[in-house]
Amino acid sequence: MSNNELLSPAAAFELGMKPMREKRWAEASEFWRTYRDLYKGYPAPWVQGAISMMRQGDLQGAGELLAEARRKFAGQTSVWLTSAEWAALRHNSQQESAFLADGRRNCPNQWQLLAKSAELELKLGNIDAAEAFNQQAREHASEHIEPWLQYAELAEKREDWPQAEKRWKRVIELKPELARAYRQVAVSCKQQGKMKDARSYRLAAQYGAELLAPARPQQTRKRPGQVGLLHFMQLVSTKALLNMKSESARTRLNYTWVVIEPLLHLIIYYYLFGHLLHRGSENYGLFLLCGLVPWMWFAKAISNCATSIVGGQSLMLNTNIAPAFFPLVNIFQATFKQLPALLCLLGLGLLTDLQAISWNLLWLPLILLSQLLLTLALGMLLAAIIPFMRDLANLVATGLTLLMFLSGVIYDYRSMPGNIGQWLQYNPMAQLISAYREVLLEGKAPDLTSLGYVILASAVVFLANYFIYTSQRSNFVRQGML
Amino acid sequence: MSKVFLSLHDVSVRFKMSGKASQNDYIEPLKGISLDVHAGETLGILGANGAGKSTLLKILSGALHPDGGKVINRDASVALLALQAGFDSNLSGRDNAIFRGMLLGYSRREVLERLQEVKAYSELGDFFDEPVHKYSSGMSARLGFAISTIINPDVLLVDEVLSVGDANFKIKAERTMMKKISSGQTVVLVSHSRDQIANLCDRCLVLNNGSLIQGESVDDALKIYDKIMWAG
Repeated sequence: MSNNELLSPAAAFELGMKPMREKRWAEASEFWRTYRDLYKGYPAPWVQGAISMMRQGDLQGAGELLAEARRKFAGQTSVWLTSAEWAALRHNSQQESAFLADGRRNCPNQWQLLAKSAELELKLGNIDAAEAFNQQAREHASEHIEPWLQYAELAEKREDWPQAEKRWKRVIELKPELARAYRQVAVSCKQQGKMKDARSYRLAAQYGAELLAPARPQQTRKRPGQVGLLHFMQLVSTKALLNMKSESARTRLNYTWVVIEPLLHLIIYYYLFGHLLHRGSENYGLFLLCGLVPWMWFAKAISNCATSIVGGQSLMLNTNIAPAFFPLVNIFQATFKQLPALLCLLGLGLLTDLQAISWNLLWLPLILLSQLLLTLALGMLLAAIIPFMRDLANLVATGLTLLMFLSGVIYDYRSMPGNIGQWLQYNPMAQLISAYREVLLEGKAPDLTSLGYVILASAVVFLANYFIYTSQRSNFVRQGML
Repeated sequence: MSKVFLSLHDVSVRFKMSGKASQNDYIEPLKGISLDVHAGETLGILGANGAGKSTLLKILSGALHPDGGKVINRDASVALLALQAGFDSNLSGRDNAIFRGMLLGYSRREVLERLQEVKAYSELGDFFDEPVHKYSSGMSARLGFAISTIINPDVLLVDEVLSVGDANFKIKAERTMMKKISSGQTVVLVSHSRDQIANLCDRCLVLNNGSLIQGESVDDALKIYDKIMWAG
C-alpha cells in the first residue's frame, strides 16, 4: 500500500471506485478503509466506504461511518444524500426526511438534495410538497436533466396527462437524444386519446427524432391516376426510346439491322422473282424497295403490338396505366426504328433512278402519315382483341405473310388474275404501297381518293378502338389473370 | 371525422376456376367488403396467406374492378408501392428510374431533377449506370424502393414491403416509411405481421376468408386475428 501514498487523491479514489463499479464490495471496503487513514480531509473514503458496506448489508457499520462523516463534512451534499439512502434502507422515512432537511440547511441550493427530497415526499404521498421541492431543484439544476425528468414523472403520478405531455416535451427540448422522453410523450398522448401524436412520438422513439419534423409540403399537382394526355405521350415515347436502347444493347450491330434486314429481303426477292421467275417489271429493284420498306414498318409494328397488352399485365396491376400505352409504345418503337431506315433506303433507291425525282415527292409525308394512322388503328385493335382470344396470337405471323402477298409488296396487285385484283383495291395496305410507287417510281401525284379511303378506314377503326379501350380496361386486366 | 378518400360498398370479386379438380366454378377472394379510407389515417389490414389481402389492394388501387358493389374514389391519387415490377434488365438503373418515375406521374424533367436523389438513396454508386441484369436481387429492390420514395400520392398502398436489401438498408427503408406515416401520409398497410400493424396503425381490419372484420380498436382487431389464427 506504500505506493498509494504517492498518488493524488483523485487517482487513489479512482482505484477505489473501480471495484465498486464491478460490484466487488468487500474489496472496495478495504480500499476505503485504508484511504480513511491516508486522506483524512476528503469525504469520499467515508461516503464510498459507507456505500460499499450498505451494499454488503452491513447497515450498522455504514451508519457509524456516516455519523462520523456528518460530523466531519457537514457541508458535503454526498454525505447527506448517502445518509438519506441509508435511512431509506432501514425503512425509516422520518429519519430520511430529517437527514434531507439537515442537508438542505447545511448545503443550500443543491439540486440533488432537493430532487431527493421531492422523491421522498412523493413516496410519502405528498405530491404538492414534492412539486415544491422539484421546482427548487429545477431552479438550481442548471444543465442537469434529472429534475426535469422528475417534473414530468410527477405529472404522470397525478395522471395529469396534458401536463405530462408538456413536461416530457420540455425534456425533449433539453435533451433531444433521450428516447425514453419520446416514449413517455406517446404514453401521455395515448392517455389523452391523441392517437396520431402518440404514434408519431412512439415511432420517433424507435426510429429517431427526425420523424417529427414537419413533412415537406405535399405537391398538389397532378399525380398518378389523373395523368394528362401530354404526360401520357411523353411516357409512351420515353418507353419506346428506352426499349430501342434495350433491344440494341443485346446485339453487336445495333441499329444497323434496321437497314440490313430489308436489304436482305430485297436481295432474296429480287433474285427469286426478278431473275429466276422472270416476273420482275421494269426497274424492279426500286419497285421492290417501295413495297418492302413500308411493309416492314407496318409488319413490325403490328406483330409487336399483338401481345403487348397481354405482356403488360403486371404493370397494369401495379399501376393505373391505361392499356393503350402498350400498343402505342410498340408502334412508336417500330416507327422510330423504321422511319429513318425507310427514308434512307428510299433515298438510296432514288439515286439509282434520277429521272424519278420530282416535286411530287412532297406528297411523301402525307403517305407516311396515312400509313402511321392505319398502323395505329389496326395495331391497337389487334392488341385489344388478343387478350380475349389468345389463340389469335399464333395466327398473327401467318396472317401478316398472307396480307403481304395480298398487298402487292413484290408485284403489282392489279396484275392478279380475274377479279381478285378488283377486290384487292379495298386492302388499304395495297393502296398505300401503290401510292408510294406512284410518287417514287413514276413521279406522279398519288391517287388522293385511295389515300382518303385509307384515312377513312383508319378513322372508323379508331372509333371502335375508342369504345373498346374506354369500356374494357378492367377486362384487359382480368383477362391476363386467368 | 376527416375526409374520406376511398370507399368500398359491398365489393366482391370472383375469379373463374379452370382446374378440373375444383369443386366450385368460382373462387371469391372478396365477399361483400365495405370500408372507408380516411385522409391521414394509417389503416392496417391483417390476414393470413390467401385471405384476399392483395386482391383488396388491387381493388383499392383501381387496377382491378369488382364484380359486385361499388368503389368510390373521391378524387384521390392512389399508388401501390411495388418494388420490382417492370424493370427492363437490359437498361441501366438510371433509365429504369426515369421510366418508373414517369410512370408514377412525374414529368420527364421532374424525374431528371430528382434522379440524383434517387441514386444517392439507393446506395448503388457506379452500379446505377450498369444494366439491371447485373444487379443482385437486393440491389434491384433498393433501386425500386429508392424510386418509390419520391412519390407522394394521396393514398399509399403498401403490401408487405419493408424487407428490402440488407439490414442497414432495411432500417433506412423502414425509417423512410415511418417518416411518411408520421407526417400524415394516408397509408393502407397490408401485412400478416401483427406487431408491425400494432406499432403503426390507427385502425386495423382483419380479413378472413374474403370477409372483413372490424374491431372496436386496434387491440380488439388484433385479438380477433389471434383467435382466427388459433382456430385455423
